[in-house]
Amino acid sequence: MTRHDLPHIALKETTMNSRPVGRRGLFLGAGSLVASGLLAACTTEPAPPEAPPTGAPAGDPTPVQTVEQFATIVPEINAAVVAADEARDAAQLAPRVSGSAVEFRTAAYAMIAKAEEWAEDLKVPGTELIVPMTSVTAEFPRVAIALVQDSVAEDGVPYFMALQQADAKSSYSSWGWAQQAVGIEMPVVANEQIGAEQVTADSEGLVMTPAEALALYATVLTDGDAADPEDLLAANPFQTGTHERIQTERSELNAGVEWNEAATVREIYTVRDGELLGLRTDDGGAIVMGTLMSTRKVSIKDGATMRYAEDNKYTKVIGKKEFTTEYIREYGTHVALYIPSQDAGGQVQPIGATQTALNARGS
Amino acid sequence: MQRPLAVLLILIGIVGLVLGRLGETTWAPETETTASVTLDDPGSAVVIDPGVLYVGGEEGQVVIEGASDVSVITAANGDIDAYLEDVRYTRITGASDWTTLSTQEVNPEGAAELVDPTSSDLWRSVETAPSPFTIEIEEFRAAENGETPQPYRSLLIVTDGTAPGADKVSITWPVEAENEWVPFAYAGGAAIAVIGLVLLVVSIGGRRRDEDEDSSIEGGEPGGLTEPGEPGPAAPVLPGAVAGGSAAAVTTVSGGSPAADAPSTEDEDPDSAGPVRLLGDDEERR
Repeated sequence: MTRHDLPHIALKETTMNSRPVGRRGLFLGAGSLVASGLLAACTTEPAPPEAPPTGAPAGDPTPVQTVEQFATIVPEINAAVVAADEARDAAQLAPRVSGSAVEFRTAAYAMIAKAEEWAEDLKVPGTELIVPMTSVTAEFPRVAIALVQDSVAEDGVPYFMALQQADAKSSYSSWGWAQQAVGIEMPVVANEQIGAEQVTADSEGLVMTPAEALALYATVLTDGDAADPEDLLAANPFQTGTHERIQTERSELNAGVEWNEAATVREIYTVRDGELLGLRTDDGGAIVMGTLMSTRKVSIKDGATMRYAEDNKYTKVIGKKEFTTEYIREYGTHVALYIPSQDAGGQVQPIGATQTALNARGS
Repeated sequence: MQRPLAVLLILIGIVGLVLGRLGETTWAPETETTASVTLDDPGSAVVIDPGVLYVGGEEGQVVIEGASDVSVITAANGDIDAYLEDVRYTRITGASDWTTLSTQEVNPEGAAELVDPTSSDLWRSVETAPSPFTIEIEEFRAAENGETPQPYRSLLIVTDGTAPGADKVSITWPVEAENEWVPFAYAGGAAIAVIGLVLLVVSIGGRRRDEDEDSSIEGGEPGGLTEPGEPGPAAPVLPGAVAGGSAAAVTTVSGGSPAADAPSTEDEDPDSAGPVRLLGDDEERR
């Protein structure tokens, strides 16, 4: 090699070095790009969504009411009754108060309009919930019973409050409340988070159906224990008190004369249709609430005259103190009964009652 | 050949590592997925069926958009159906794919409006908030299993009872998917890069040994000298250039200062026997 060849050789070497590097770069770049694309395409595709999970099928039915619902409904019933009583306006009872409770209040306000002292007899359930009795029956109408505090005194006697929801779009409303009987052993009810099955007028598995129990109670209230020869109905304070008052009145009317010579007194109880609800108790029995209507009639013997020396609450309503034919008072009573299960047996036990005077008339 | 191969392996290794990182970030699957439905005329109520919230897991978020304040209502199973028995409404029944909620119209001939829909005694809970209404699925799940357990409950969505129950419903669930090849890219890239580095180190070490051996040969053998008048054996002569490289590789044939005595080679007769600088092995390799 001569010195003249050197520039040529140097140029040649430069050319030879640059070519392979360009190809390699191109190869590497393209390879990387392809690899990148392949890897990006390898991204794991998620599986399509599955059907919504529904969980394990429910075992025992769950209550259709909650304590929170009771805690809302009970105070609203109290508020409606208080507002209506203050305004003497039964229209303010809706929608939380319904049925016979509205009718009874309407009649009571009319009596109060004639004799203010009737206002003292208005019974108002309180706002405090003591025992919620829930139902597991989902069909409408749904029912529940709330044992609530008396509105007058904290240590007063509680009320059984009937709660009923006619359909899904209706509110729970109460058609009545019955003050708990004093001195009576109360049945054990299901925990509110477990709930109890509803009973209807003809539910079985009890010593008698709820309709029969209410009818028996009405009959015994009307005719006394003689109407219950099998002694199916247990003694209760409301029956005792009612019969005592009737006997006292009869004695006063016939004072100084032969028994029933001047007048007779009879109070007839009937069961109001359409108002009956109940829930099973822990022992398989049932607590049932219903409404009884009654008329106490004093039939005055021909030629006799019944005269009050001073006006009382009834004569103020009637507007007279002297009667020669009849003297009539009408009442409505919400009652609560405990009906034992057929297996356990026993007597039907009235456990609560609240009576409202509805009207008085005479001639 | 060792050094280019080493460099190539290192590059491939780096590419593998970069791909792994991209698989974790840019190319990573979505961290959440949203299924939604826009409701043109759903009726005065929209019902989300039991369990729809959990199609993508028990965490995430439901966003409900409405024309006005949105109320979300829970109730005992079956109570919502009973309440809407004669009302036209829309059910959200599930997710047809991960971006779309499936719907079904119920009671097409039913009533168009609801009266005071938030005030029913059937409702277990009623929450009202301005649109968009947001539900945290995890919190909803916890509430379902709270003091009063009621798992897999329906959700009733209403506005004022006259306007559409909702305009749009979206459910977003977190996704834990990842590219399965990412660990392999990292491992493969790292392994190849290490091999390349090892090769590179080995090749550099080998070259230094060669240089050391060459230096010792050139400095100790008289045969490295070129006689005047004779061309150097395979040694290129750079005209007028001072050769770089090891001084030991440059030998002055004649005495005196080489720089001062060295004539320009351009004017030199190539066949003349003047003194020249000889390049060593290093220059020859360039």
